Amino acid sequence: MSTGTILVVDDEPDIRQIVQEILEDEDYEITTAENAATARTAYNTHRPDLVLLDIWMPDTDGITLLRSGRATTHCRCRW
Amino acid sequence: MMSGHGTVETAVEAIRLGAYDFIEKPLTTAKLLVTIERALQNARLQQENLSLKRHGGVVSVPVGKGKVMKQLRATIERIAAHDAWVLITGEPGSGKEVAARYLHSKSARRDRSFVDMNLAAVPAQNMATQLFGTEQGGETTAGVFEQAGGGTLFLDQIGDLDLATQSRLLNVLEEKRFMRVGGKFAGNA
Repeated sequence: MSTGTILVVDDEPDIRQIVQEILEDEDYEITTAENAATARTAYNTHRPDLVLLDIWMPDTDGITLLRSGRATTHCRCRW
Repeated sequence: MMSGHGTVETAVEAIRLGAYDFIEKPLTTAKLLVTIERALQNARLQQENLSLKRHGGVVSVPVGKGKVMKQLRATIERIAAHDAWVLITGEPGSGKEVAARYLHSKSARRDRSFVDMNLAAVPAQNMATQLFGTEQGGETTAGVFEQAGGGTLFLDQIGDLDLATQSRLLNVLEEKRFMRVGGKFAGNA
């Protein structure tokens, strides 16, 4: 049984892959996103319990995404 | 939040915006797992806290291992599956409110309000407005029927009601509709 659903947002494919592998080994259910736009879609689709967010990304940075996410969602999720 | 260029400013900004924690790259498995576990635990506690507040802070279960108490819990659980008016009788202190709260917690309405009104504590002249609310000069006040909307209303000491209000209450029970004092349109109970 899954111990929680996590959305991993990072523009580096290697980081996404390794974090996904580590967390799946611990029975977390993982969704990944490579940028802010994909992250927003994934967030709305999967409603994760937690978002693991990279601060420095090329298009929209993590802080901006965090700010917009916190402003537009009344979520039970942690960032 | 994760970053390869950890600065105090960005960490503080992230936390200020509501992030639970800040992990610096390169990531270590141990730090990642501990942080995630604690963040999820924190989120669960916040949810539990909200849920407890929504349920009036009381999770009420009639306790007891005896046959009678087991039977009582089973009966309440069976009744809770139905949207029906329930009359709970018993001597003072026997746990009528505990039973009512347990019934609410087992019903499909458990995420909605549980409103408890002690009728013995309300003066007779205010009873109708407290129960049904008022509507005067375009201003409306919600009574307990409206406050409990979609949830459970527990009317304690119902035997102390005056006859006029008992008759009005009976009408609400039968029609499942009520009218605010001074109101023109009936609302659903």
